[in-house]
Amino acid sequence: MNNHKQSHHYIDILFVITLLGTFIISSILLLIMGLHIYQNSVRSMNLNYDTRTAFAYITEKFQQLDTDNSVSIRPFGDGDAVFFHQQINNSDYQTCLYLDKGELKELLTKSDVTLSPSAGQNIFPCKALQFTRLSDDLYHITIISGEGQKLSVYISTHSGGIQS
Amino acid sequence: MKNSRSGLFLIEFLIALLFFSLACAVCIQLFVSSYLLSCNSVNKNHACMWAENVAEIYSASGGDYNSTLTMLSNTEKLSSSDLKAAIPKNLSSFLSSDSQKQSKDFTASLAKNNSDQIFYLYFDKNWNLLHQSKDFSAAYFTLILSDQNISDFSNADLYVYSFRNHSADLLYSLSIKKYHQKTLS
Repeated sequence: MNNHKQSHHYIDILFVITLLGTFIISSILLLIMGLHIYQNSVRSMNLNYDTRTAFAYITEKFQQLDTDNSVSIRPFGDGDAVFFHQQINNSDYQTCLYLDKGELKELLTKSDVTLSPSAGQNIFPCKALQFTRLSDDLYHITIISGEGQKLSVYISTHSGGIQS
Repeated sequence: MKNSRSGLFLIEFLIALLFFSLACAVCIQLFVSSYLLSCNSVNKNHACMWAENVAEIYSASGGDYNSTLTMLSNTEKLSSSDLKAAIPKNLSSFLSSDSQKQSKDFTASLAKNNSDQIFYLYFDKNWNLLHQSKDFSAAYFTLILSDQNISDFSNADLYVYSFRNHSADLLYSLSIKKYHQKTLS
């Protein structure tokens, strides 16, 4: 009788411990799952942000500075760079977008002044940048972002450009 | 007395576990929908960028279908015949899922006139452009340009579809109009 009571007591404790174990394991699994989902969401948000920023920034620059014969491509920094020529108070200025030491940089100078590529302002991290002129009014830009995401951007200008 | 106390504790524990399971089910549902939303947002972002890219090429080509086709095939290293390759049969079966796509010929339903010209770009699940027509049946996304010839201006409609879970969803659409420059004599 006493033995039977004791085994009943053991099963009671074992059942409660099993329930507690299930509860703890399920909680941990749920937390890990939430963590992975959150990590994925943040990663894809960052990727979206990187690609959208790069795309919007370059497109915006072309649209903002697209005047008659104002766009040209020539080597500067770590490869080819795009130059936008403009006149401010009867002086010639140029805005340059280029790659230097893993960063996309922008530099606004007078056309007759030559500065080193390190003088530019950092825009965003970028592994590779390539500007190609496909026709008088179409440019192709290939960007590999800091995260390694490849981005292909086509931009048409409305004013033509200078032969590179 | 002791038995009744442990029984009550057990019931309380079971109720807590039941409540936990319900909360778990709700959380998992939220996690899944958040994951799907984030995937959808990435896909829409890429769809929007590719549609803008093709629109820019179309605009730079003066709204000319053949020039757009040549420009795309040269820069993306695609053959013109691959660009005109219609949606593979295994994917076009997905298109019959909603009312807009119930037309027997999906391509004909996109074109507003018989003379309209259409081309397709196919992408894998990471939005890399597929270059070989034999790979098109494994495409996850397709971009379709339907060009209508109108005398005073060029008009094209762009659609980006995703093929997932045996259904085709319209991710992004864009209408392009390019007015032809005329010189007064």
